[in-house]
Amino acid sequence: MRNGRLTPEEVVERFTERLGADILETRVQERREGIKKNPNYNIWIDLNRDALKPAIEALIEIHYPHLSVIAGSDLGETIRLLYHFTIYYGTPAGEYTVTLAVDLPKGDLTIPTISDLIPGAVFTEREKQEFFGITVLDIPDGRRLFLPEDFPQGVYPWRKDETGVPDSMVNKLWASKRPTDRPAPPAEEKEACELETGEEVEKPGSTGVEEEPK
Amino acid sequence: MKLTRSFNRSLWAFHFNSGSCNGCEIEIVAAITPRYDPERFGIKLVGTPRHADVLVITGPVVKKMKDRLLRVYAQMPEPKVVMCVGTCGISGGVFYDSYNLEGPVDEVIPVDVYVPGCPPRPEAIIHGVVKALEKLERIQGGGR
Repeated sequence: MRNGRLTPEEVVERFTERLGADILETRVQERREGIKKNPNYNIWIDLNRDALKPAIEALIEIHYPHLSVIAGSDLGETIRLLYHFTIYYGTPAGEYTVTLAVDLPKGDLTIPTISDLIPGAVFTEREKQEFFGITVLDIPDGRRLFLPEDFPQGVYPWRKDETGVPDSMVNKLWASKRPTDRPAPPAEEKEACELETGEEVEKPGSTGVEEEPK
Repeated sequence: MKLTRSFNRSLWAFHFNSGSCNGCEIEIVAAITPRYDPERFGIKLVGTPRHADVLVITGPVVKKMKDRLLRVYAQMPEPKVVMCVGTCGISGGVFYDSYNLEGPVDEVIPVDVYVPGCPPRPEAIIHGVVKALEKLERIQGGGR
């Protein structure tokens, strides 16, 4: 305890005590920042989906959390959601980032809303819904946020599988007004040279000197 | 460049962001700082297209901004010159594979001056404004 604050290890302990087997993996990363090399702690916690809300409740009990964003990435079989929090917000050089990660299998892309605990989270949840095709259960406002109104249903721009953006939707700006009747460039593309030791470096210099008198 | 009599007022520009990443905005702001000080020639940014001679567009045209861009263009008084600042408005730039773009700027409204670069330097933007000024003079019938 420093000034009534928990150490990062104690924060992790708090989670493992409360949630037990639902915590899959924890990691505390220490980084040094500034001239004084103040330590900066990043806490990463992998959870089961059911433990997400209890985990956030536990986080709220530790300190008023600041939710930066819910990040997401398509990992192929699963979609991983990362809830990026900061606690001890406003303490100079004493903030911890706490990242709660949940893996959702592609067959069952549902996650409970956290907007009853953190009302501002509804925006980032709406974004995850439209960009990943995730269903956020009990979301108070499930409308689209960023995508245009006429965007086709069933296309999720951040997905890397067949539900991602098809090539036909990409308006190729670089091809606009590009001339198609230009002749092919006269010089063929050079083959990638393989660097040999020593000899190769000397060659260009020596040939250059010989050619100059001409 | 010699200013002709036909150019009897200051050149006012209106800056329109049609989905830029803000890189070009930073360079436009850099171009109007005291280091270059184009305002000594009367060149400045104004807050409404109704007062502007030049429309400075940055960024590719995203879907939701297309209608707004057309409206802003229609609000400008004649004679008007359109300047496209940055690679995005010319060929998509870093947004080349985006699903949300309505083509380069010159497919939405006619463009007179292109300033390439990602982002272009302030000198290039000022050079583009000078080119726009020359074009404006030509439209107005001066510079003969």
